[in-house]
Amino acid sequence: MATSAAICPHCSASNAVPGKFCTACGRALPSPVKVAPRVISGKSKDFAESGAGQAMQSEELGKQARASVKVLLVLGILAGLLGMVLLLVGIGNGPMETDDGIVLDLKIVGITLLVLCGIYLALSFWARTSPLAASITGLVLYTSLQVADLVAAPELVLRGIIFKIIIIAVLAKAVSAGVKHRELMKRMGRGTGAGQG
Amino acid sequence: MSEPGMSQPSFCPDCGVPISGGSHCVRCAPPAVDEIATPAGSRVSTISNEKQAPANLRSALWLYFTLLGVIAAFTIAYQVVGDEVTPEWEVNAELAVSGLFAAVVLFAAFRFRRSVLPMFSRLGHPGWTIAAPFMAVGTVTLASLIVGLINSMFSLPDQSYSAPAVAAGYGIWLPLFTVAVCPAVTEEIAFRGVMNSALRNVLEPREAAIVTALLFAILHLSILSFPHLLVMGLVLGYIRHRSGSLYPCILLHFCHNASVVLLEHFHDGA
Repeated sequence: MATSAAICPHCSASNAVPGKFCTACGRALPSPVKVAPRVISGKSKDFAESGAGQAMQSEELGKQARASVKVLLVLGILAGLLGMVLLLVGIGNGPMETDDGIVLDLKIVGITLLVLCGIYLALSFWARTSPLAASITGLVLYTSLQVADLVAAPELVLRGIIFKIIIIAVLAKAVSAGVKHRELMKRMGRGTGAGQG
Repeated sequence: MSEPGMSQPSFCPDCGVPISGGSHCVRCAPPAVDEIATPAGSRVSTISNEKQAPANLRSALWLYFTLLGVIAAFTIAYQVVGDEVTPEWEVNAELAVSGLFAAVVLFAAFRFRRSVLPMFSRLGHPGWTIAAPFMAVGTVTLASLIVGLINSMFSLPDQSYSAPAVAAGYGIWLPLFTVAVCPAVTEEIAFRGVMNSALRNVLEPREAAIVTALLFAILHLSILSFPHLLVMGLVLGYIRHRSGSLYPCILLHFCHNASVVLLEHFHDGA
């Protein structure tokens, strides 16, 4: 980034305003230092506040907010597959007793998972048009189910803990990005972005 | 006298497009007013400091998860006591949960009184208050049909709201208080009052009503009840949106819960 007046190699004009292009002929100026990837940070707030910067942020935030579409789809598919297997096993065997003496009806567990599959898939579909609303619901639903599991079977809390943390982190990031996206859209004067396709 | 190359710029120094005035083009021009403080290092830092919307959403989530924590604590206590659960213990636990719920919700209502009080200061159109008990008939019928259908398919264990209180010698008035009055008031203030208002800061009113109804159904942690609670939540959200008042919502919720308790009590007693 130029810090002092730069002489244009094309037209020999002196550029008082530091920049990438010559203000006299419009052609590229040589970069005095190696240029890092341009990100919207506190150091380049001017760019972040410009129209191009806001459009770039909006695109990036919209992409982050819609990350919940895939996560909810994966959760729906996993719940659906597991639910079908448990339902088929449950229909053939009836209620089973675990080592802890708990009577478990796999048929009911299977049906529950199939209902959850339907909810997750519906949320994934909704997230395409309303990513923030679907992400909030998905985050609350998944976390509530983890709390319910924790209460029902505390010994299983560590099973798949990394997967659970990743799911919650991605959904939380999608919610955060969705909120910022809505705020940015308001500031850009495009409404709240609700119902956008 | 200025140098030849130091005159008014003809091209933008940032993107190279021709300009007719100023130092930059319209797209690259810095903002006229530096209105937002920007912490360094954040990729989207220029908007992350607007605390209002995230703080409100966080408040809604805080309230939801605190209420979920109360339910989880009650369930753990139930499991710890195990086979030694007596009707008296169940009644005391119900009262304790109702009290904790009320304390959390009242704290949240006081904290966000600017959002909640307007819904108490207006009655809304009287038509909504008159229609609320009739709507409750519809939600109770729907709940009976869904629960009855699922019970007939899977023969789930019976759950009784009034049996412990009746067995402990309190009569029907206590379950009416803990199952009908308290939840109707506290849940409506929490969901249609605080959470809906908080969500409306970041979502469209229609989306906020749907999300609130979903949170309301999820918090009950019952797949069996999920369908009719979702429908009931949507109806309550619609009434709150149209009337702008919490009174019809509280009345509908009370009528629904009271009908369930009374129907169950007199059906079992018959």
